[in-house]
Amino acid sequence: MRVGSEEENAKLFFLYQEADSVLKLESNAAAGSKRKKTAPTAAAASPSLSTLSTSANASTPIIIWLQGGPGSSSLLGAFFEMGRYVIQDGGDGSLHRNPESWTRDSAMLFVEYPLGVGFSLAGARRLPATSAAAAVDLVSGLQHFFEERPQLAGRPLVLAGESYAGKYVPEAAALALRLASDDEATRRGAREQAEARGGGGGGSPAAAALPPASSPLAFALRGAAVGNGLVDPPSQAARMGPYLFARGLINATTLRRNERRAANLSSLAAKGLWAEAHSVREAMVSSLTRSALGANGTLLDWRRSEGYDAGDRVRSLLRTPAARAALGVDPDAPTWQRRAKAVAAALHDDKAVSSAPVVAEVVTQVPFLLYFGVEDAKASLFSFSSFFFGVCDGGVFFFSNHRG
Amino acid sequence: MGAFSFFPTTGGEKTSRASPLRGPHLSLPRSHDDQQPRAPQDGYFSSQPWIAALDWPGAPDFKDATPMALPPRPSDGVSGGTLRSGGGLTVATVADAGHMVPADQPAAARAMINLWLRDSVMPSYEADLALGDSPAARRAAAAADAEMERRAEAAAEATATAEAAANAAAAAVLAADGAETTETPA
Repeated sequence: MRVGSEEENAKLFFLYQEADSVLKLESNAAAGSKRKKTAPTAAAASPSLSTLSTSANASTPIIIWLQGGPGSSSLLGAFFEMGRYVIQDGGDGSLHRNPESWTRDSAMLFVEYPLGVGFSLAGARRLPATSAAAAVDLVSGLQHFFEERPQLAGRPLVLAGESYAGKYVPEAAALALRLASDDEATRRGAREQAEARGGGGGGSPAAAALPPASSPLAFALRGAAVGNGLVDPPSQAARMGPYLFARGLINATTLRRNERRAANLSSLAAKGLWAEAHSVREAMVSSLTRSALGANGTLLDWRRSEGYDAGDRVRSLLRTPAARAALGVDPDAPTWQRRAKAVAAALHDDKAVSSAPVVAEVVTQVPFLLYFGVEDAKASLFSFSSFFFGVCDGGVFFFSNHRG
Repeated sequence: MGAFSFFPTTGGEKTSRASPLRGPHLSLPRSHDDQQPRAPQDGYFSSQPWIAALDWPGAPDFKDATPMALPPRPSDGVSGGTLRSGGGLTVATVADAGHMVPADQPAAARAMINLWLRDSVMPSYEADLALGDSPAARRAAAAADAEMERRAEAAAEATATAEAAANAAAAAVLAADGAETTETPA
């Protein structure tokens, strides 16, 4: 999905998987045409999205999915988490039907986001420095997508994501809701805001792709969801020490040192010194990791537990020429990586910024879901695999996975 | 063309390592029988402070909301977690799940997102939003599989070379419904 001007060659990559209930209608239609002895054709093999709409599926939700990171590919979600086909645990790397795919009930629209992630191309565009700036690209890309598919735009749309998407989702949802508002003044304000912060610089080509303030967006979000999100980095980081202390993994001295650092982080964040705040958070993460889990290399293997070995497994699939061809990946798109380091680096000063006020803005307008993986405290090694993964996943700190 | 494991991956040689945590050699206790209802903040220890501080008109309703249990997991009959809704906000916990919830607890994660969709996003929606393995959902899944298989076969028949046929079959599976996944003209 191109975002902005042709010269920039900035494109978001979308993977759409239709819901079972809608495919069932397609299947019935195909059975009907078979009775008429219609030979299968290439066109029948890949019906365009426009043929998929009937009034019967108008109420089937579409979940737009953003992975975290920052910089992680949303195809991890597609091929490891809730997509129709996932790579089997410990298998040969081939795809298998996911019996609990979210596509059983809803359609999924996986977006490689922000620009520069996975199969998306940043082209000549400067990478976004904030989640709020990136949101302009997403809303602009979704506008293209739904403008061309009004039958999909009419279905209940939900913006969802995981971990760092705890910042992406509220920012993008807030912008999309303002731009879809019935009130023209709200739309104009949102558009001006998008132009001011849009990723392009020099007139913000992404914002220019948005509809004029006189008309609302082609789509309206009906909800937002975040799983194990990083939303308010300062307060979330401050809870890390108490958790580890309660688990008996750090001593009181380390806990107090952590508390001082948390207070420092909080005051830096209050002053808007985001880069410094992020550095403090990184220091907290690394020192607490050392204190609690030691420098023992075997601990590092925890994050390699098969359950989270998403990157390696999805990489072996998506780096095949067949997969690129099958997915119609742009020839200019880079080799797939589970995490785009350049995107994460560009967002450096965004990492300590809280999106909690934006969550409040969004939840005032549409339902908001926050969900958390909870680990059994009795399986103590297990409890920390998630913690460890979180630390290693882009230096982002998640600590909402404990129980008891 | 049988099950959907046919995608001609060449990455099979790079298999993932056996899990040091889940392997039988460690036999970590994963007790499910101690899952008494918990205080809701248990599941979101680090996020509870900012959630509690969220300032929006629905906050009083959320604070008064009672947590409910997610449906039992098909694997062991234990509740998949908790869910609490009020004032537009829903907070859910999924038991025995880590960071990538749908990968860790696929059934509970699906029940969780569906409950939220049905009860909060689209209260009027009653159709095939199965919370478990309802017959209707199973029928829809079987029909969807048949449809995907049909597309894969049609794509294979419609192409000349074996390689192109493999790619076309892969396309039908990977792209799932022929959706355009890249550029559209601006």
